[in-house]
Amino acid sequence: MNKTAATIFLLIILAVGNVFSNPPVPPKSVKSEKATGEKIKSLENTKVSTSAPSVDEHKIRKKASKASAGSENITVTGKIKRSKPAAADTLEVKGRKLREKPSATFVEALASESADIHVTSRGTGIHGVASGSTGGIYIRGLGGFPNSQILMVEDGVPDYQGIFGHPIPDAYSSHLIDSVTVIKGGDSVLYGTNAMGGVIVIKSRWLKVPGLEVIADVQSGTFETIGYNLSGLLRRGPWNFAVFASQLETQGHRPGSGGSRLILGFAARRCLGDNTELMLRTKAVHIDGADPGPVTHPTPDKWFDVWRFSGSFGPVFHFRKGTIQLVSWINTGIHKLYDGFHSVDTLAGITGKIEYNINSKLLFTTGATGEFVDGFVENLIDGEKTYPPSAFTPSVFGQLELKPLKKLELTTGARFLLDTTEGPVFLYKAAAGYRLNRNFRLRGGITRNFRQPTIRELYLPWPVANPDLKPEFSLNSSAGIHFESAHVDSHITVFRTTARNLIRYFGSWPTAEVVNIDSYKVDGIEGALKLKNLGPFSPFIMASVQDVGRYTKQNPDEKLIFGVDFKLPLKSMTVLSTLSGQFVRGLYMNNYSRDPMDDVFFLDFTLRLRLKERAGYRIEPYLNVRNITDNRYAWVLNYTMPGINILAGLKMELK
Amino acid sequence: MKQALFLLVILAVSACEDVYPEVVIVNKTRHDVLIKDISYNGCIWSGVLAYGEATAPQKCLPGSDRVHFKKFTATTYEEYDEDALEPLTPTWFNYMTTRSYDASTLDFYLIEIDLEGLEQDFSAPGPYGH
Amino acid sequence: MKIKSILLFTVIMSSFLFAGCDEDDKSEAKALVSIKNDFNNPEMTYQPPWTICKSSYLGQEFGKISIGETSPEFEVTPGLDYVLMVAAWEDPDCNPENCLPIATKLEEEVVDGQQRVIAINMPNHQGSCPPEGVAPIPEEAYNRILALWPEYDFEPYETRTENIECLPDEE
Repeated sequence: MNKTAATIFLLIILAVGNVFSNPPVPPKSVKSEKATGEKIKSLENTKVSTSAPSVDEHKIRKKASKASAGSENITVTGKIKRSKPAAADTLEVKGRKLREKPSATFVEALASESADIHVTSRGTGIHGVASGSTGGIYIRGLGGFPNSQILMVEDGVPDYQGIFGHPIPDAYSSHLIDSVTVIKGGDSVLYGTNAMGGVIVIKSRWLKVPGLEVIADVQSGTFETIGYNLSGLLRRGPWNFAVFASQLETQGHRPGSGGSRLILGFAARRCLGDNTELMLRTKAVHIDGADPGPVTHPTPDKWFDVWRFSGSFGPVFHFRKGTIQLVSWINTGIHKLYDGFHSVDTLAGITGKIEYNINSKLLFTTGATGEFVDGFVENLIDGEKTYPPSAFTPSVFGQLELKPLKKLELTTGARFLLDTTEGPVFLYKAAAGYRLNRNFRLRGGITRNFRQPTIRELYLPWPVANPDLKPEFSLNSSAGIHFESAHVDSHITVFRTTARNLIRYFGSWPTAEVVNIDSYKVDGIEGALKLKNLGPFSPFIMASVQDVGRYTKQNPDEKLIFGVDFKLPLKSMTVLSTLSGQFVRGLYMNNYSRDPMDDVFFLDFTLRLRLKERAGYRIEPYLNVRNITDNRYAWVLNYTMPGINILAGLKMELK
Repeated sequence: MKQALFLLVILAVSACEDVYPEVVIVNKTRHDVLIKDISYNGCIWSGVLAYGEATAPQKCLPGSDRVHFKKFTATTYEEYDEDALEPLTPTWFNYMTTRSYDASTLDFYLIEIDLEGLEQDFSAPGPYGH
Repeated sequence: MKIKSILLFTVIMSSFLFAGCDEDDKSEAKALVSIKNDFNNPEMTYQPPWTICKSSYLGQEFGKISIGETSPEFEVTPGLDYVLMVAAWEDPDCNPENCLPIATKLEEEVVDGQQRVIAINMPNHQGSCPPEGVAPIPEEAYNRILALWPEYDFEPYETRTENIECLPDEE
């Protein structure tokens, strides 16, 4: 702790000294916008990233279209592209790329984008909840079932189940997503509890220019799988609307592995005057299915039924040097299981955040958050209800991003919060990035993150609870070298994930106990090499090797992702295709290297024919073939994945 | 173009599960032995099989597995003990075949369960968790 | 300027790696464990009258533990293991003819810095000759008990149901 504090102190002294030795100059982004002599009211492109913002120079790339706001006509003069912050340890994936992957679910698609992200699965589209569920996300060794050490943030709002403290992996559909940023190593400074191993920041789609866009995607495939996805985006005057519906139904490859998922959403954004926006988002999710059980002992009658509703609302004020944002949210769910379990949980909160460009080399972010968790559980068979205490957590946070030297970028930040069991909690982070030249970039960072005990761990005796539990803490560090050029995109990162105060269950009923006791350390190395713009073929390879110590439960030692993208523009269409595969070694069903599992190997193939746009619409038939070598493999022991299976679809885009 | 679309549709409607192996299980144990909740490679058959009876065929996953089931021996069951006035609930014990059976795609398998090839099954999953 | 930048970056990166070692595992890990004979736990539907005559966990012997009692606390190297025991049925004096090898149902775990009482009771034990439907003690655990306490002269695993205590009582 002392060493860490000394590091932070040293970093801040070095950095601040360099920043204030340079005279402040107006931010380049503002200069660029002013260059046309007109106000910029399309604020989307100038908004500072919340995940890992940068004060790096912006580049005006091209002229965009005309936009209107309120009664005035305005002109967007340039598309401002911010280069990736040199200090960031993030993976950024476009929603379109995730949609075009053959993976059955959103979290599986994400896991095929980086070798240090591992996700379990059991079939073709439904992960489920409770026993037998999959969709556990591991990032650099932390996380996994039930995912409470990984935080999902959807449009600025944390998303997790109030009682069990984890996200529901089936509650997301790639069809609705604009982009995803995975913050590896977590970031509790900006995002609070659960951001221990990583944060998955999801940004939903808006129409960026005035007009209408309707996309319908219909798919059908093996195991009586049918999917419908419909999204409509409208931007007119000061209004910006987004509606979406996504439904998937499948019988699954064996009894109990099927189910259905329905996601409905509505969002609206309105400009109020020159500098203010109001945003509203709502979402409803319904998932039903079952735990199919191990193939040796199927249990297709162990059904579940989950409804979740979420909404967020708040204004954003833009001023010359930054933004002020206020977001309030509520997320509630109703879970029912075959054994009479019934729960209602609520997560609600409010965040106020200010981002302020002090000068071109210094961006300051600060804010305050209050988060409330509540819920009750009921046994529908005997009618017994349990009302555990609710929890409220207030916190304040701040972050400085500075550029003391031309090629050096630093980020540091801290959050103070008041935990109901621990009392005051201090979290911090620091990162540095250095651009050696046009191609090479060095970066490193350290974060101290935490996870509050869940209501279940504190108060619900399944099999035991402990109201004296305190938060878990992690200290994650990483350093890497990145190379980017016109034809090559590659990096190597070494990482260390440590955690202490882990909440662990020991023993069995009636003498079980749950206590904060254990510590954890993972050392690993992860890298990627992607070739691009070399003709129709773009091969890629990603690998990760980690030593997870005794924490081997579904936490693999080695993962390799490989493949080749193919893109061929023709006269009437563009042919897009990807052949990709994964090889995963060192899988165990339990800690201490117990119950070893077979290595996983599979190949997927996808083909899309993107037809030229005609009269404002475009058609794109596609075909996904999963597990083309028909391998018998499993992520969870005896939850055998399907053999070769096919999904064909047709995407229709109207603009 | 039309050919490509046609190919996509054909591929999509061709159900891969149709090629899964078809399996039937037969109770060939003994006249007083009933078996129920039979499972094999992802398939589960509800209902009780008396001696000589067979399950309906089901498409199961390809691969290798033992046959798992619950067994009840009628001749060792005592309906009443000395003290109880109410009839005792029959106890069904978990059993499995001692050997595994391979099943490949597009094949039909008839698996007979006999008394010599049985052992107790302690691999059944534990209680359901939340 | 470039040298200054690189030096600054090097200092910062070294600090990160240095700080990242903050929460390493300690080299001399230990845990404090005691074992409770919980066979008389009233929450169970049945209280088997087992007296624990010998007990061992993670290489540490805990000795005899009568019904309802708890052993002294011993230091062990953290890890995962069965509690291995010799237990006597309805015999507080532990006469060998009433004894059998038993073990905990689960492999019990302790981690560095933990202080834990492991309870041995009806659901958390497995023996040599259980009734139909209950799993017997694993062969590896049984053989370790035979090696730890050869003086009891238990039968080999294959004939474990022929230990004297397993045989039906003579009327």
